Amino acid sequence: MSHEDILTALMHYTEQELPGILETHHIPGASVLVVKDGEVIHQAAAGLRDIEGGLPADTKTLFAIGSTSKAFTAVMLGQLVDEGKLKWDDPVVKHIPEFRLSDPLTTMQVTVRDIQCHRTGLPRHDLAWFMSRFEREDLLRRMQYLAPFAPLRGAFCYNNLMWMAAGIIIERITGKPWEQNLQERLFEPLGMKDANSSTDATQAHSANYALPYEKIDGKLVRVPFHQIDAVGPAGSINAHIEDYGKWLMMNLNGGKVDGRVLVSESSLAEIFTPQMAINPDNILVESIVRFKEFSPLVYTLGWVLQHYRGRRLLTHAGGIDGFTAFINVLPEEKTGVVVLSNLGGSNIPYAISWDLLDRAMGWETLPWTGRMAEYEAERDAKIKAGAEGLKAMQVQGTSPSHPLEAFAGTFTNGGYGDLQIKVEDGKLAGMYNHIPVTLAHFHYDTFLMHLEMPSPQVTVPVRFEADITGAVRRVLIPWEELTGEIDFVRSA
Amino acid sequence: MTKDIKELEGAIEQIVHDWHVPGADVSVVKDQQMISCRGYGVRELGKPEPPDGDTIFGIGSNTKSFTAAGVGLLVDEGKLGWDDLIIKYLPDFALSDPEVTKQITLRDVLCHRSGMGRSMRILYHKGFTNAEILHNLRYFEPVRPFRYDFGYNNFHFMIAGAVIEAVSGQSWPEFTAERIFKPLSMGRSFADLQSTLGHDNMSGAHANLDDSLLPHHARLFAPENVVDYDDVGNQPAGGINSTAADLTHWMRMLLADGKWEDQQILSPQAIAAMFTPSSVMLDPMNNLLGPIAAMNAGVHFYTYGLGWLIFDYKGYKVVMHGGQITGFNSAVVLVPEAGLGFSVLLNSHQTISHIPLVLMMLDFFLGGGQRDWNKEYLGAIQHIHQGELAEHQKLLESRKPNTNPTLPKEAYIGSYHNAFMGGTEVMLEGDTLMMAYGKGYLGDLVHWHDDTFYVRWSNRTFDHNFITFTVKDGAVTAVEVQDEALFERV
Repeated sequence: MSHEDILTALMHYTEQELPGILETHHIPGASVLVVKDGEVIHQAAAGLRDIEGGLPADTKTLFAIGSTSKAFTAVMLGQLVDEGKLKWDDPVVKHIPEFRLSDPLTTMQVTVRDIQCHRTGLPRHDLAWFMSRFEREDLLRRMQYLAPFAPLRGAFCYNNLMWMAAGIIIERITGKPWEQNLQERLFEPLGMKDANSSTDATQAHSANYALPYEKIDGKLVRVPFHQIDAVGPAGSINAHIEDYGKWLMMNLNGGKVDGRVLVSESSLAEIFTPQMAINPDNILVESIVRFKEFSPLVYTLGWVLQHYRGRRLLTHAGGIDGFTAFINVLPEEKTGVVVLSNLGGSNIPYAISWDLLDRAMGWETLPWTGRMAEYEAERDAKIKAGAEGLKAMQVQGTSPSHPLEAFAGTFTNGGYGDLQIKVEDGKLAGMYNHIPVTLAHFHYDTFLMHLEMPSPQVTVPVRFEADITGAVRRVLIPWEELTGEIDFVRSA
Repeated sequence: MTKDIKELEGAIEQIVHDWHVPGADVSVVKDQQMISCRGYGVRELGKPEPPDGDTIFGIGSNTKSFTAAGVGLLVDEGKLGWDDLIIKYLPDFALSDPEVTKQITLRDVLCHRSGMGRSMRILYHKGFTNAEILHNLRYFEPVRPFRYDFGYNNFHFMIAGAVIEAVSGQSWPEFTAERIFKPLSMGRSFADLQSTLGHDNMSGAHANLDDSLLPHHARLFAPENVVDYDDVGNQPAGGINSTAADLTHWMRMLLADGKWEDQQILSPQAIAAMFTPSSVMLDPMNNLLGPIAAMNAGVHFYTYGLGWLIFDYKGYKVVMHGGQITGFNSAVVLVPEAGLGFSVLLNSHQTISHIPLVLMMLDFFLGGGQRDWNKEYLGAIQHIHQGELAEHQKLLESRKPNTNPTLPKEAYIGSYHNAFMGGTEVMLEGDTLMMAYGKGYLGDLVHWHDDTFYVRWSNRTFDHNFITFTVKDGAVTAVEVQDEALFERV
């Protein structure tokens, strides 16, 4: 295939096919960029950045890039390695003396490499920070109260708080906030003039940004911006596709920007080096590894590495309320694809990026969006079956052991904060940190607790327990599969 | 296909010939059919008989996948969990770091991530029992942090074998024979040397035993001598002897989600666990698959599952193991997505010809571009060999002329001890200093320079060891066996 044919195929895809794909899969808007042989050969946008206002997305529209931010934090760590201020194998406590995990031995042993490749054994515990409004240093202190799932280096456990800690290491070494480092060390030298590190900044300073949307019960819903500055180093960057392209080029150019070294080739190579195998059934990768063109998957120091059609491919997804981003890098081919979109919880942007990648490489195309839609249907069916399975578990005709008032109060977990429960209109309701909650009686002393937030949809059966005096003492909440029941104990 | 297979067999024949391997057996299964299983070359140097599919070869470390499967059988029965602690089954087990002792699991040992450095091969011949070796592991210092990187080590599989023994109540060779060989009708497969010896149609084991100081791994051409099978005892890391025909049963079972004829031998879950990467090689060039990594063969992942290497080739997941033991080299290769499996058994260990064989066979079945692997590796090995010869030359030149030991010979006689390696003796036989280490090692000391000697072991398949005595205040206080250990005088 000639270069002209490739350009024509890409153009045809974004002009003729992409609008239809977005419509079919209820994605409001997306922008895309393709780099080949070290040059941007295609960039385009389709759909709307603001449905209500009827405003189209373009290549200067800001999107949240979610966890694809981790690679930015990784490169800054690499710069500190280059400067001799950090080693990948330094214990975290060397740089953050008060860093503590629940197990003292693990605390002493965890290294920067361990946290970057998600092998500390600490599962996500995302609801410990999600919408909490806790500051970064406060979250750091709370990590010691979070239970591990696996022993150190025993299993791949994706964790955002650990990447926040990686950002704190940068802050401690440089004496400057992660945000300022990001600005000075990456955005400025890369020329990412419009990028920022907070949705607050997006709304305050930009005239061209995408609004966040989620699909809830099959309907597209506009959701509020979710400000996640506290865990920023794990995923708070916002950028438009033109700026993102500059970042992608640097990664394909061995760490150089216009001939200047931003990060050494050896540090960048280390960031791309396989470190930790990812179990194929991990939710993070199940929508990738199910396709026979991909296998196996490992985490590097900030990227997911797999092979795709026999080539080494680095990817990362970024998902935060209302946005999905997906980046692909084929280092040997000096080729990369980025897709930014303003629909949360969707895997279709992955498929769009592979459509573009196949065309950029001149490979036979595959029905990626159709295949991914099948995956999403299976995933949704599984979630539905889970909800029905829960319903089937319900024991009929039971009642709580205490009057509802006895379940009211404040319940606290050191890692997670406070859950306040009141009786409102004859029902239990309240607040978890800053998220309103409702509790519906399920059976005996178990209630279905629902978090009243746009996304994600979180409804789990929680169990109240009484102490020997008969008073309701604790509530146990199984928010994540790997965290087990999180123990909130009555504090007031 | 018949014609194609002839073409493949011709290519195999060529490689075996070009690499001066006395003899080989190769078997291939595709979509549950055995499509080739035959011998090449001769069974034993100096005799005309060719090997056939039923000829017995040592399979070395391909034993490890049988040990992993043995653990899988017990997991299927609910008697074990992959993530169970070793100390749950071996309460006296200890490594040098008590924290690692408390945490190490079966998965950790089966994917080589305990932090141990290379194993001391010399130990197997010492005459230690497995229990003694396992006991001594508490004196073996790790070279990297726990679970940090892949570090291949035979002791890991001795630990797994000991767990199988503790849980099943059978010795590992008995367990393996009864639970794997028997149901799979692998009638000519044996888990230790004792049960192997005395059978007909056994391949000779070959080595090049010239008198130079070249290490054995560097003597990559023309093995000239027939040597004894290596007696490694009860060895879950490398003790199995088998045949190309028997290995087709093993491969077909693994490629059929654990089914063999009407029986479910191993659960699909256990096979999935073995075939899923558990540890990642941070530095593949200096690791097991170095010869593949060095050739830019288009492999992006070098990982280890449980008892198997896992890497990608041409977009396929390849599950493989190599196996080297004195006189033999082998490879078992599975491509589950292509319904493909093959085994390569060679009757010389001083060769890396199994690597071009494996790549050539993968190209043959998976299609896509084909490189002349045989030619490329023959070129590479010449280059490597030149390097080894240069190293050897450097070694010879490093010898200081006209020096003498500090003390008279009698002063070196005595017992020396290392906590991990046990005891070694230095004796004077007539006018010659000798060293004895365990039941298998006996050799005379050849003076090199100053207080350094090399030991010319009577079993010529063992590499020479350089040793240096420490002399303090007119007395010998210790002897260091280079690259092995320091033995203090008792």
